[in-house]
Amino acid sequence: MSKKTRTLAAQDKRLGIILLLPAIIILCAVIVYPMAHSLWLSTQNLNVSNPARGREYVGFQNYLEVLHSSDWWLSLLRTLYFVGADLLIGIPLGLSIALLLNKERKGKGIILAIILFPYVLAPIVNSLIWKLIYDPNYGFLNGFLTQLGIIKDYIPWLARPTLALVMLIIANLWQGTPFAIVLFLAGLKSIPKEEYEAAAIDGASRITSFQYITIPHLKPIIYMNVVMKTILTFKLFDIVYSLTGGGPGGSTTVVSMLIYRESFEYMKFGQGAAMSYLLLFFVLILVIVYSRMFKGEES
Amino acid sequence: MRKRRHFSDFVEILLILVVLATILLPLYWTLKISLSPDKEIRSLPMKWGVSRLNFRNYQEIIFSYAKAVDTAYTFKRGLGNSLIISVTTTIITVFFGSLAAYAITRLKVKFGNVMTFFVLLTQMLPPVLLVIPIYIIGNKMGLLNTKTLLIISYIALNLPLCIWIMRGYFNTLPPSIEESALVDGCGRLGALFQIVLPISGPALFTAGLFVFNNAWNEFLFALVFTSDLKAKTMTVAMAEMIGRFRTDYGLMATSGILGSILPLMFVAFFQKYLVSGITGGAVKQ
Repeated sequence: MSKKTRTLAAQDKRLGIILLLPAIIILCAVIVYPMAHSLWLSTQNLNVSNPARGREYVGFQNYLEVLHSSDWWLSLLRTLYFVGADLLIGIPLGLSIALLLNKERKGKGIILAIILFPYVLAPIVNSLIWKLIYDPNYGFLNGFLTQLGIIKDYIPWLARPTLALVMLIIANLWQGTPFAIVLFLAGLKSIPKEEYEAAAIDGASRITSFQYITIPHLKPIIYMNVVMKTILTFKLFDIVYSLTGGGPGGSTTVVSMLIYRESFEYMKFGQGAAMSYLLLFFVLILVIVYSRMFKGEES
Repeated sequence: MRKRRHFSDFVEILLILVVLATILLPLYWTLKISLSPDKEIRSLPMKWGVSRLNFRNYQEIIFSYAKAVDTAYTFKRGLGNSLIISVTTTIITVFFGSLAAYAITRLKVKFGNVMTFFVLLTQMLPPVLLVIPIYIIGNKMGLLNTKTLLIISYIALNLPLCIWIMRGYFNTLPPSIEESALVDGCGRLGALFQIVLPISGPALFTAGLFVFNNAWNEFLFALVFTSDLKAKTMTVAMAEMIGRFRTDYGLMATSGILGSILPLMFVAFFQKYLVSGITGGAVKQ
């Protein structure tokens, strides 16, 4: 290496660090430092109800209190129920619709655009839309089901504890499925056509070629969908907050709703921070379990 | 055989129509409520259409003024705040994001893995985990209820994604593109600004589209950090309408439509960029 290129490389490196600096500063100030601050908060008792005492270090007490509270475990169970339903319905649904659309057709562009509508909307708009549909008196759902003769009496969809969570899951699927469809469509496109042709020559039925060609090729996409859906649904807050507020009777209080309430209604920041870290911990565990499962199957 | 083909085609088209109806009906219902005369919103039995179009709700929001501090005016101001916040966030994020992505792909700064880590981290972190400390710090610095605090937060939340998209694009560019400029004595910065960025239009646009839409739609940070007309965003104003004890459904539906015009236009005109943004990261892996 000549001297000139060496100084050029050194210049490049210096410039590279300068170009990266703004991004690093912002990420440290708004993500890394707050995360550390949150970790520290989770070991403090802020004594909001008794400010004279100030804050004190309590070690793992916040974590232990959370892990001993039934509120935490119930909300975690609700979240898991939500995630489970989302995965078991959302992924097969997304795949089915992608298979349906995976064909050159007139108007495919328009169909795809319509499918993307729910994806780009604000989750708050999603709540607003479903509030108008679920309204017990003038909502579309009651009106429509009555016209079809399926129900006689109007149902208060969001006011019944057992129903409310299901209705939230439906609203969330409406918004979340387009993402899965787009991913599956891209995955289906990447499968070589020759494999299907060869299978057809060998006399394979459509079901067998689906089982032995489509599914194995789509495995990375399925994995991606499972991970993304889990992460997103664990974070779910907007539609719960605005559609049910966690009610009725706490029946839709998912974890992020519980954390929000502890932190910003009861001002228990220490507990809120501890819960947030526990939530992150659970998501991490799930993601690790998933990657083991998917990798394990491959070998 | 041919007949069976015909039949299965028919079933497929029918199923596609069912899917499209499921997506469009909720949107249609919202539009219908926003255009219904007040009496028809609260009348039974349910009707599918409107007897006459009523634009009063739209007028009420668009021509609302400061003296009557009500939900319509709050929402109108929220739209303005959201627009300022989203545009600023998008410009700054895409600018710093492309600089960082260029450094990672071309200037041999070993930061690529850290960046991947940040992309995963910002995806996985429950946002509340950041909201609590930023609220406390923002409170100490007197930044609560300002657009600035939201802009800074949104930049950080979207930077990793933006760098990710730009890095993917820069990797597809052959280094020879800049080499001629370097030989001409342009220097690295000259090559970046005069050659690389001008031909990166599609990638910059894709990144900008996602950043803008994320900022426009964000709710939790805005809910916690803002408290009045000065900084309240469109989503917060909308949530207040939804949560009211006696909701004005016509006004609420109208706010939903007005708040969705921009995102829906993105789909209508820039579908290709959205799809490439969604699938870009996933399929390449």
